[in-house]
Amino acid sequence: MKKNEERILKYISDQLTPKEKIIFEEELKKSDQLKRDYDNIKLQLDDLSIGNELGTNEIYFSNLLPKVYQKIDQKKKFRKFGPIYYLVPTFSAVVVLFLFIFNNKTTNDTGYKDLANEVVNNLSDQEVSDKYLTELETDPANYVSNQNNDELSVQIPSDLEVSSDSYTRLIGNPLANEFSTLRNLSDNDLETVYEKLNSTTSQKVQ
Amino acid sequence: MQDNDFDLIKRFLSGEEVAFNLIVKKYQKKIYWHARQMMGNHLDADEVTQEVLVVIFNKLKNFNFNSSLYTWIYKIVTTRSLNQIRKKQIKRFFSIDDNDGDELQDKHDIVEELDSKEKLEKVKKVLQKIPPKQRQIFIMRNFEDLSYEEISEITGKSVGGLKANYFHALKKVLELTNEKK
Repeated sequence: MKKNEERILKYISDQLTPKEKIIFEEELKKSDQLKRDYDNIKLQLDDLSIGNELGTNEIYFSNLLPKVYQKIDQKKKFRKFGPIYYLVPTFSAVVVLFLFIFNNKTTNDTGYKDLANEVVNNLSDQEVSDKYLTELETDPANYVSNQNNDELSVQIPSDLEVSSDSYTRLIGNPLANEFSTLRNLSDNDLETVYEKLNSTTSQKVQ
Repeated sequence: MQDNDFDLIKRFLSGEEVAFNLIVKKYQKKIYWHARQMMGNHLDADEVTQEVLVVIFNKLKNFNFNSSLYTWIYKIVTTRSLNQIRKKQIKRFFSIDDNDGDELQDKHDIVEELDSKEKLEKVKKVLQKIPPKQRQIFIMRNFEDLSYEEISEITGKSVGGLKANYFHALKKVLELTNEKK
């Protein structure tokens, strides 16, 4: 069968040369085995064939056209308002890029983060440290919630306006350890902290 | 048939939307069943069918009358079906798409008679195990009775290549049907 199968399949798929085809057809008439194998393969393939006799729900085909028109209308609307769909994300991307560049510039130009860390590391006045930093370090979640309740001024310098960017980072790191909150604050916020601390302590910062 | 199709296209291009309805009525079943055999289920076939009809509506203005409408439509169906299969494979790779939506398929299936369902299931089990491009030629040769020349025009492949592909498809199909016995 295996040997015949290859030839039969080549015959069915029209891969035999005209000469091979004639020889095959001649043999098919004479050889019972080849005829049996050929019929067997044809039967297996016919068994898989599907004609138009399948019983289908015609409602599907009746409803197809309205569905297609609905899709066409949706696409037309998209095309009409297309610029808006593209402009909004583009505008957002430009804003994000602008903020990214602006923030990076501040970091490079000022290095306030480093200065603030230096202040904190050299802080001798425990009272100042407690007053301005403990709340932020131990319970940043509460710190954020207090900010929302307008109680922030009691706990941290009144002139420290923590940016929303910093809040996001604080929320993202509620288990902040020692001074890690400072690393989560934006450079502008750190600048304010630094100035406040610098004016309160007598410590000299290079 | 071709003259009639060309006439329908001309009517559509001159603004007669009803001509598009006639084209849909004429070809929707062929489109659906090609997609159905390729995809192996109703929901994907439905998605492909609708997508193809939308493409026909939008692109008919670019029809160049060099080929028959039938061939042109077939090109769109075969491309979209293969794309849909690729999309499904990618989704499955990232586990976005679950492969056990059988209940959902049953609920929406348009094949209602038990005999037809059984037959379709049998064919599906074999076809879904052969590579998509072999599946495509097997469907076109066995179910749609297309000649190699027609398939070549649709797929852009050489007749020799198609014959070899069909040979491998047949071999694989026989292997699978013999396995089940």
